[in-house]
Amino acid sequence: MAARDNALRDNGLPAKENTLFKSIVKHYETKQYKKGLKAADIVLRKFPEHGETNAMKGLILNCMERKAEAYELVRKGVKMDIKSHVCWHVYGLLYRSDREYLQAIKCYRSALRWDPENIQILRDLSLLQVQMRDLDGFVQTRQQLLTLKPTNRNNWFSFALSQQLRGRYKQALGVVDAYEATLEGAPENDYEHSEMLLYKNLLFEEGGMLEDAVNHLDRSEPMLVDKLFYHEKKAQLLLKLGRFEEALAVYRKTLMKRNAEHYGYHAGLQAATLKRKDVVERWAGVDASEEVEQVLGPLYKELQLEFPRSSICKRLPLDFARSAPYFREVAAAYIIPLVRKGVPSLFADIKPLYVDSMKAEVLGDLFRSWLDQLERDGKLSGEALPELPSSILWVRILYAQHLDKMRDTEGALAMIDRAIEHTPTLLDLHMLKARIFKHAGAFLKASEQMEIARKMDLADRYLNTKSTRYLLRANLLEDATKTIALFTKDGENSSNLFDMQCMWYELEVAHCYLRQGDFGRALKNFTSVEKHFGDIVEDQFDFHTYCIRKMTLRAYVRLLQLEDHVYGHTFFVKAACGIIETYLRIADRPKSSSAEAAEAATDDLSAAERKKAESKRRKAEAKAKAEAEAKAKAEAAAPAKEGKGKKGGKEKVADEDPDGAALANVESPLERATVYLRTLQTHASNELCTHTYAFELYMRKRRFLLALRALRKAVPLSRCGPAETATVHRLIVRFFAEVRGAANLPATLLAVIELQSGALGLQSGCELIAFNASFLEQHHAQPAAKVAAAEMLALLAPERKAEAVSTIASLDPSALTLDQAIEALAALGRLGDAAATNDFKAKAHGAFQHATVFAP
Amino acid sequence: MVVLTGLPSRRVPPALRQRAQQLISFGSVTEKNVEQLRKLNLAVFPVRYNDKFYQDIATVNATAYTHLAYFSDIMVGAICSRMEPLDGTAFKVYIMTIGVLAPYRRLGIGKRLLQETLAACAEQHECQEVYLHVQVGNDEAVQFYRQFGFEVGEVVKDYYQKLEVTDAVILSKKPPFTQK
Ligand SMILES: CC(C)(COP(=O)(O)OP(=O)(O)OC[C@H]1O[C@@H](n2cnc3c(N)ncnc32)[C@H](O)[C@@H]1OP(=O)(O)O)[C@@H](O)C(=O)NCCC(=O)NCCS
Repeated sequence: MAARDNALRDNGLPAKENTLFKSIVKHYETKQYKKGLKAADIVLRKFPEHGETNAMKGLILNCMERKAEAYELVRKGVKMDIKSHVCWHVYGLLYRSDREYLQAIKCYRSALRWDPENIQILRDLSLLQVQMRDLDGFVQTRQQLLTLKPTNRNNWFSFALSQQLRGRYKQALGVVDAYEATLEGAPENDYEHSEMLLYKNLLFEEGGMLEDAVNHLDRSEPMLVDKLFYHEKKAQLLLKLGRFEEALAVYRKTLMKRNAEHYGYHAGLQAATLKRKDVVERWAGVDASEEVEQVLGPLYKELQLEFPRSSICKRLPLDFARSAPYFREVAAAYIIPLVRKGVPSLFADIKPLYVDSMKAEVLGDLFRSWLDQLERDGKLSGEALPELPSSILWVRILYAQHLDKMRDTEGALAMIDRAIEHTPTLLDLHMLKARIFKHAGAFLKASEQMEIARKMDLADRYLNTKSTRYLLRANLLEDATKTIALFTKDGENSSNLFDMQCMWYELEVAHCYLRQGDFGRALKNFTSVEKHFGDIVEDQFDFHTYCIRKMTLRAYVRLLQLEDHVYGHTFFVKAACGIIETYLRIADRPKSSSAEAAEAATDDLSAAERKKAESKRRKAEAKAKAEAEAKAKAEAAAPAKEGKGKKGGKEKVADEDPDGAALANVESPLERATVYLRTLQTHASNELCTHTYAFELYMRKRRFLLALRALRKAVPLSRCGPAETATVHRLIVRFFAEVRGAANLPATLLAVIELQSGALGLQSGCELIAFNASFLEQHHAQPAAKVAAAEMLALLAPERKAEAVSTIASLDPSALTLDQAIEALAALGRLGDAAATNDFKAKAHGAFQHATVFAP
Repeated sequence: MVVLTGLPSRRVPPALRQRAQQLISFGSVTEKNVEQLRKLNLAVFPVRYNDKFYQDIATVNATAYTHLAYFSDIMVGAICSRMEPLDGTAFKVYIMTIGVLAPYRRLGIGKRLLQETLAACAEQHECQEVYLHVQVGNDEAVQFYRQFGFEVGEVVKDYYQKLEVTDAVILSKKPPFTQK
């Protein structure tokens, strides 16, 4: 593919060598690299200065994993024949193979300077442009290709699509129209024709031409293959246009009858009934007004009669219920049949309802009363027959989860133990017990329970996964590695987990290492996740041509949109935050021994647990070492496998930094962290952690204006909860304390900062101590705020440290959540008062018996 | 070794029993789920069986005579038997345990478990006898087995060493194992 059209230009070789040169290209295209290399060497023996041959040889070497030589040869080739489009094209391909797309684009452009109408190079260029979202360039290139080759349908739709991506819907429609005008007779392929019509419809819709979209949809209906989609789209468009009656008819008379278990249809139906354009997929908390309940209540009564087997028709009223009596009625009607059936996921299904305290109370009430009735005479009130024996079991399970949710750990454990007594063979009970322990902060006990469950069904991958996760939370890395290996293809060799992009595992392992102070391995695992995201973005490449060819244009556009937001995915955000956190710790680390760091890391395990974990680890380590040695021997003995990797026969290169030592040992950790921060700022600006980390980084780099900007972004996000409010308050105080206390900052800088202090809630010139006090006054009911204000007081006025300590120490742990108590303990530790810390720990241990952080 | 303990004498209304039937299903022991069987036996019998007991059950081809009962997908009952070779190809089947978790009794599960095993015996012409031990004085157990045509045999002195009543009586059944 590289230099096919080379024949058009005299490349300065005599006929014999020219034939050879063509064979090099052929060998390259058919991946017969050794033959290609041989041919190249023959030509070069006679014409060592022939640029294009040098370049081609380099390209072939690149495929044989000889990168350094490849670059050298290709660069040499370009220099020898700077006017050759072949050399430049090859240079571009080289960069492309290393994902250096911007460089590759430059090379392609140079190639086009010498051969402006080279279709192959234009096409390659357009791929890179859409990949890099250089949309203006993409439009241009696609236009050029269409002009050069209007007979190719792909060129029409690529051009239309490029216009669409630029937001020029009218132009895009014009292109599709023009193409349609060239069509004659019946379409050759019904499916592709139908897709084309739907794509056009999408352009109308995205361009806001809703009336046109509805009309076009109706006109196209006979030609559409996907009839269901026609109805769905029509209903959506009618709703958007506010034509509620018509929308209602489609939802109620057509879509509901097709599938009454579709949340989207229900949302549409509800919106049309309520005559509102905003569609609510699931009502949560207090979103639904009383009016909503009054309108939708009767509708769902009808639907339940019409679709007696539909579970969604019974479930949705729980969401929009506003009044307690109605909620009680619909909740009982929904839950009792599922209790009889025994549905393990039932609580997960109703858990979102707990954001509404009325609903939480009613549910607790219901469970308690069912339990009373069943314990009394085995019947639910109003029933003639007793219940089957599993009903009481599932009610106990629900009630245990309810109690856990209400943070009544002891009640929940007692309830689950009664259930285990009743049916000891149900492994779900041990999973639940594990979860209760986890919520209580007892990671080792949680893991023990999860292991019991896992052993009860060794064929269950889900349990295996859960158990692995719980082992990691308890810092039992070796056991976790063994457990996950039971379900991976290549046993304990983790390359399979990497190839499977098993990101939850990599994240948990990374955090486990981070807790143990092993920064290298933590970074190693966090960056694995980052690599997967790189691959996901890279994987788009295959679709740029494929989707156009197959006319799956709508799916393609959705894919591009998804890729645009992929770095905002929680897994990436977690990985990036983990990387930044690790580099911050590396930067903050006093140059001490690493053993100390590891010790500090196990702090949140009790002494006994630590011993247990330690001896377990030592044993496992010895065993793992022996196994690894045996394996290495076996591998050395086996013949090296032929490289059959998916991308162009690349062989797997040995990992040069398996422990991440090089990753951890960088010149400037803060700069490294900043790279990841930038990605977060672009793609995850609605996450508070993005801005708190931005703050931490910029403060350490003394980039005060950037830190200030991070604070301004953090303030609106701090309103989502008391913990967040307290976090951001700390940052604001620390910021002004540092800035105002700093010597020799430029006066203009200070002026700019003071000018913006109002936006952070701090009146210009206001004393920080007063600001801190007024924050406390405003949030005095919030324990998190109390702790933050006290700690900041000690920072601002070190002579008042005793006051700060006593404020925190006087908190009553039994009135706190586990997280709040942990935070209070940590704050006391930071204030350095050992006696108060120990006292508080003992008190907290009373309130949170199982939590290992407080264990003596 | 079979002991009958604490049978609930409460009879279940026929309508409920009817409703329960469609929720009952059967499965076999494998090395993947044998831990559940251990938990079941631990809850049902006063005697603890050792690891070897479970290893044998999960691996040896005796699994044809071991059946698990599920109620609405929860394991609630099991019958564990083994083959005892006689002369030539002939053999006897010995029922080591049959148990149903207390809350799930009197729903017909025990009966269907025993029927599963008897049906398996009926398919083997070489199977000459099915037998088991019952604690002396356990009339309900005797009642239970008599329904299936088991006959009361000799008494074995001091069969149960660790229990209060130590003598056992042998119950046995010869072909045909199933009534047509
Ligand atoms: C023996 C056992 C397996 C029976 O299981 P089960 O599922 O309850 O038995 P079924 O429901 O199939 O009962 C079948 C019949 O056996 C008889 N039976 C069972 N339990 C009885 C009892 N406690 N009293 C009197 N008859 C009883 C009844 O005739 C019953 O039919 P019915 O309910 O229509 O009257 C169960 O009670 C058990 O596990 N017991 C403890 C363990 C044990 O001792 N096993 C060894 C028994 S030899």
